Amino acid sequence: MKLDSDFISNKIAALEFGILSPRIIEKMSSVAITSSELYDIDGLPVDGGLEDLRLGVTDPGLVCKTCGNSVRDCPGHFGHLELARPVFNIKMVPMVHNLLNATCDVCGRILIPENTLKKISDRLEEIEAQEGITAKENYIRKIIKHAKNVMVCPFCHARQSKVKLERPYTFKSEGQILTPVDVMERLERIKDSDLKFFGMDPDSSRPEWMIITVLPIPPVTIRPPITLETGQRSEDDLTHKLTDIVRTNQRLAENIKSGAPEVIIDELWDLLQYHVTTLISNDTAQVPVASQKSSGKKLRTLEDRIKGKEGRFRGSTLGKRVNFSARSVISPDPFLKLDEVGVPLVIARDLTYPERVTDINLERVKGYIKNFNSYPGANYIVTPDGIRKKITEANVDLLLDEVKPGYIVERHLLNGDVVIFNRQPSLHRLSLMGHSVRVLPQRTLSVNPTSTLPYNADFDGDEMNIHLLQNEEAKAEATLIMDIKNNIVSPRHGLPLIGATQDYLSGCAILTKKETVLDASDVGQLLAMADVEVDLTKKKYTGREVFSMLLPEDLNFEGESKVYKSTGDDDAYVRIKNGKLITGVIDSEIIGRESGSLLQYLFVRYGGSTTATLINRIVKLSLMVLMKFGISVNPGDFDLPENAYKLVDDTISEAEKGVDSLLKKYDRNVENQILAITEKVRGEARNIVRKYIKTEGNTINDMMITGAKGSIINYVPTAAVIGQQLLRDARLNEGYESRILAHFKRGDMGLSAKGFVRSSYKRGLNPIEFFFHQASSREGLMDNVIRTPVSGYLYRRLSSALQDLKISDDLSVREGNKIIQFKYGEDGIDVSLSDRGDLNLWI
Amino acid sequence: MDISEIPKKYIEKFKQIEGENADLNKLKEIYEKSLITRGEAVGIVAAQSIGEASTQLTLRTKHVAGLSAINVTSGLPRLVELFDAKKNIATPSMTIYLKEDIAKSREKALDFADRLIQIKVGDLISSYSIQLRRKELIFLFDREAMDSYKITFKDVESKLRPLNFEMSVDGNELHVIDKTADSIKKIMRTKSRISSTLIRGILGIERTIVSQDKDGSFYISTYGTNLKEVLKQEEVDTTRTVSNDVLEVASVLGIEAARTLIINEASQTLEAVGLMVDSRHLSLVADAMCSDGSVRGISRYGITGEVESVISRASFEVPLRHLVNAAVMHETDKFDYVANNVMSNQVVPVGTGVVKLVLRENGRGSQKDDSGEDKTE
Repeated sequence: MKLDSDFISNKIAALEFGILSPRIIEKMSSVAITSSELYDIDGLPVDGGLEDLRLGVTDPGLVCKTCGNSVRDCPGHFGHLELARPVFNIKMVPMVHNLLNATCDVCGRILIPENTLKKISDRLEEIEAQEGITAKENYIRKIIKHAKNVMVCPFCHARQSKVKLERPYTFKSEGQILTPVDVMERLERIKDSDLKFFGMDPDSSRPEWMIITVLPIPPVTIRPPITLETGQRSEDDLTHKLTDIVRTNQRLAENIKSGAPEVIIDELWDLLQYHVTTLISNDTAQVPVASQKSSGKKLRTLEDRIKGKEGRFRGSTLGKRVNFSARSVISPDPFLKLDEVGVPLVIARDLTYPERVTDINLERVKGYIKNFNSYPGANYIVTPDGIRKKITEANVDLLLDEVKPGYIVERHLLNGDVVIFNRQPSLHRLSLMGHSVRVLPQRTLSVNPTSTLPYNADFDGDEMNIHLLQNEEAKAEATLIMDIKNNIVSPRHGLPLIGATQDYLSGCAILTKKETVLDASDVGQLLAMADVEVDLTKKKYTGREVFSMLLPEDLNFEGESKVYKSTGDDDAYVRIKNGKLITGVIDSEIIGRESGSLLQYLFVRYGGSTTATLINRIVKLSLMVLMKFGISVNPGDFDLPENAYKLVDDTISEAEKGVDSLLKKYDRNVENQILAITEKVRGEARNIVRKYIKTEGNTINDMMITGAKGSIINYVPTAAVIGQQLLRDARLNEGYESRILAHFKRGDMGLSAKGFVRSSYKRGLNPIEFFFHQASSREGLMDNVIRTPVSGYLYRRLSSALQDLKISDDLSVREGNKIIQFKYGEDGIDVSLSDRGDLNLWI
Repeated sequence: MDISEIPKKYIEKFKQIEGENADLNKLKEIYEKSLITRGEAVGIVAAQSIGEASTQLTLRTKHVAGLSAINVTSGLPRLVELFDAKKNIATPSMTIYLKEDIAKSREKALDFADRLIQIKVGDLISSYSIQLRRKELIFLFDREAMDSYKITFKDVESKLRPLNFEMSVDGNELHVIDKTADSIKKIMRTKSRISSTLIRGILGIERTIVSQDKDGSFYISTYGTNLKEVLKQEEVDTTRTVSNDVLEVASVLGIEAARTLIINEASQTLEAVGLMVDSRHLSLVADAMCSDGSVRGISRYGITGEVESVISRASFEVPLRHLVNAAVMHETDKFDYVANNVMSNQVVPVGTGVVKLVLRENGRGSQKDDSGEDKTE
């Protein structure tokens, strides 16, 4: 079997940068531009015009006169324009300035004595070999800086007059303007052997090439004219600019030829310089912006096309658009496996995988072709010659006969295909993970809700993307490396990002409470749902026994549950011996996200698949448990005993008294002390709540202590007191003169006048308190809006700086040949295989 | 791999669990299993770990109310400032630990902390006037302030003497005549020179706060830093005293100290908001910043601007400058970086892209490939 055509045989190994010499520009040119007209009367491109057919074609009906191809295959060809007078390249001006000042006015030699040059030359080579290009450039900058200040040429002993640069592009020497012609003459005098001290090279960057004498004309293919609906043709910004250049150049040439006065010639020369400058960069300081004649919009010329987020670099080459992808709203489906994604049938019929036909799969593949009209079918076949044929009613039978090993059939997405699932913003590598497809009769993509954390997804209208991989190599990588099962533990901190949340935790906690006992019939129901097959021999089972049936039989594990941590109840401490849960409540510290120690242990000890299976089973089991036992909350869960409310009130009154007495005696730090008092109120309220909260039959409390949802931080403001509202780290301050609202006395600095909210959410806020509260919340919202771009930029900088670091064979971290760390993280351990950063010694 | 390569802390921990005579080969097996994969793009992983965490950071300081703690920049601004290697950080601060005898006594610590605070002539003046004809500056001193700082005119005079002006004291007034002054501008300059003259304390230390740590010893936190001078003080425990200004630490204590400071400060900033980021990621960033012996920020002026590959550099910021420079300098981009290979749709040289395989069909293909050299057909 010949597979050659499948492999990339040519690879870009290196890219060399240099300055185009006039000779090369002429050589690579397919046409000399002579006319500023674009089209003749018939609407056809003018020969020697800016849309000459030799520059390439953009019109589907035409054929390129250079390569003979039509639009699809013609890459476009450069032309050239002979300038009547040379002009500066605005981007080269600083370098030209340096060269003029660092070389002799008369003999053109570098202003450094011969014997020093030898030393510098050796040093340059040394630096380049040892420290790299950027270090060499810094050294060259030093050489230039030194040479610039030499006043007498060490070679011909001529006195030097320094050239001044008047921005943007006027050079003056002793008050005389140096025209591009003068500058070029001087640059030409620089000896080839001196060039290396400026980092230049006689073959690829002679200094006089920095002055433009021949302008390369970009192919039409990069500046295609657009035909509007009205049939009118609209030219690209670049073409507009080039037309200006050609026209000015023509006028300049004519005037020179006819011997026009110097003033007129200089004026036109200057105009040509302006047009060429704005062609290259349309936002140079002190150069007026070139704009469209009709609309006055700024022309988007060469630099604008390259730079910025939508420029060629970041917009087109680092970020590309792809095929074989789909996007839809997501919905939760706990009955999907963790590593599955539910794909709507309509999507499955559009996304195709190119399956290579072999003797083995021939019959199966023929089935897809036959079934092209429904699912699972195929959309196209590709012959070994690379001809793609759409399967239609008319040609099915023909294609069925034709297809044989060596063909490729583009078949529909099937169950079990690997796709990459993604949610933007893709902040970390867990934002793109491999999932297995489950084609379902629905209109949204669906996921197991336990896997939302790494994607940071919820189901309030979020959309996500899938990408169908197109070859076996990519599929292998996706299943072995990117698969969600292998990414349960985050490389950020070594904790599982995927795990039980909310009701799953409640369910597990109810199941593994000491008191929970189930009838065998119920157990059978539960386990059947959780895909566990066991022979039930007893009449009654404890919840812990049921949970144990999900665990691997050789599992030994000990860990502190959240319930144990908060209550100290030894029975809540998790002990698993030989796959049997002896004691312990299974809660967020055991199987939760970003904390589940059991999941982390399982992942390192048994691998991703076992962990994923357990998560799948826990999800379903917990759901069934909750359906059986039921769970509900009621407003009474937030009630505290009367005396607790009184204690809270007392605390507040005491704080108020404290503040009043503080305000009576002057102290410049009084605000800070008041803040300390309000903070104390919050702390005390928390203690009161902790002490008096109803624990029996309080579902909210159960949720808090198992980590299913909420915490004391949410409970205190709901049940007891909301407390001081802050704006910019201080008590509320803005509003009316010396008061926040007109309801207060001027200068009242007491608690309630300055943003203290006495009420709880349950009791309700009065209008004034509500006002205070929203002010504080608004600040939070604004903070969030501002934060996103700041942290986005931080991430972009970090990844740009660190993207090339990798682990080499000796576990050192290197960027190219530069060593950054001798051993990764000092011990070489992979964070996602560690125990919160340390070697995982449980194994 | 040899057992001696396993970090000692893990051997100790292993022995704690498994007993003194534990089989270290078992540990070796565990250790090897836990090692990072060769070729792993750890730089990107570190960038993502920090970047993803930073989206959850607060922009504003949520400070702890009260007098006892000083209020340093925290959250995202602090993280940005650290990775930028900023010259002037928003809130420079020092934590000064004291030698045993002082650290145990509140009075001594408070006394020392007071002595650290910079007091300039300007802090003691209530007003000043200028006698143009006589080229004379008259400073009216605030007696109360002087008394509270226990500073006498003698102290002031002795500190001003090196400036070589004619001086005389008249009650609460200090008369200074500047003979060289020939313009108002010059007199004003003399005035500011005098008011910025340090009388007592250490230049740069604006405020000090004494606090007590867990084991009962006192330490001093400051607003403003001057690590070099503070370390010269006899009372200071030089082994633990630090500043939070990375560049200052680099110049006073050296690059390794700066590296450690970056790691510590970054992890404290993240921990303060409860975000967990493994120290490996932070140390990688710090090492990249300090790899050439000076602290360079993660910005276009720092390490990002100094990548070997032209295209990688150009793709970050200000592409044209890099391209023009490359053309003039006749640079060659070898395409062994990530960004340029992404651009040209080629396999990136990290992760699985590092591995090169040669298919030997029916046993054909060159035998040399077995030497382990990377070869592509």
